[in-house]
Amino acid sequence: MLSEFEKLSKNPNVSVFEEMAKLVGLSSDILTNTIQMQKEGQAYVLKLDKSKQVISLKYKKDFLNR
Amino acid sequence: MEKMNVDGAVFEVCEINSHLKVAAFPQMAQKIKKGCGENFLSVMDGYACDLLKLPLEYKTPPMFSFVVLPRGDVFKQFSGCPFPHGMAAARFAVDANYPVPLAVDEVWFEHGFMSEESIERKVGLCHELAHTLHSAWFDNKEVLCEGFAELLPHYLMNLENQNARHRQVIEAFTQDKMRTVADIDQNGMFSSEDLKQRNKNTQEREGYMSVYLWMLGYTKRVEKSLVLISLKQLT
Repeated sequence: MLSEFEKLSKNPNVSVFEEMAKLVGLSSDILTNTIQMQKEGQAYVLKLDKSKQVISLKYKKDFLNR
Repeated sequence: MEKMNVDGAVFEVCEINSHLKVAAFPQMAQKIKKGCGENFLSVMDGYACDLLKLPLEYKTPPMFSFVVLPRGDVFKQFSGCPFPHGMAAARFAVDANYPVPLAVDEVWFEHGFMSEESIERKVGLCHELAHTLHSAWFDNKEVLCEGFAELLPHYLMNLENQNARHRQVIEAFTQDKMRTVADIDQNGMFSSEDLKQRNKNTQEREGYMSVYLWMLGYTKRVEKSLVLISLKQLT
């Protein structure tokens, strides 16, 4: 896990934001104003604004359970 | 005792045990040699031992270092903390392999922990120790550093399940309060609102809750992909 984060911190071509957004399930062609993504048993909900900035990443209650 | 010169200031380094070191100005270093800070070090050692048990692939055995500083401008100068006392990452390395030590103010160090053990205290201090741990791998992206430091106690140590207050706060965290990674990258962890509310628990600040959720999502995704790779390899 630490080495995964290390890769993120050392990649000069990809911003942390882009890489994390990609890994939590966003694709690069998302253009809609508000998108709710519910994956893996409704683990999380993401909302984006027009410029694809994440304005919300809200987890369902059971997401915090292990 | 090993001596260090940092911007003209001389620090002496006391080795406490195999995984704890303390750097301090000479007068305080002498007091430490005579037992000053025993309660503080004993509590922090307990948390450090919990971190040592985590199944992380350490490059070398972790070494947790502390820099004891007087309160006020000196504390801010060598820690980079916006507040004149408390605990925060220090600005110079005491250990070569784990180059981020924790700065702690002299009053806290000397008088130790006055309050009883609590889950909030454990989370907060394991958060600080996590900064030393990740410094062996990375220390150049605040979102990653603070995200990992939040992830470690809440998720890796599974303290979220025992921390009813934090669960309540994070479950009630509203969408309009969620800060973006880009915003934190540009403006830092503390929003102007956060700086006004100095007594607020760090774990309950908007920036910290935001990076925790980001890192949790990222980590779960990476964990899932690693499991899939393993399954593919099995078949």
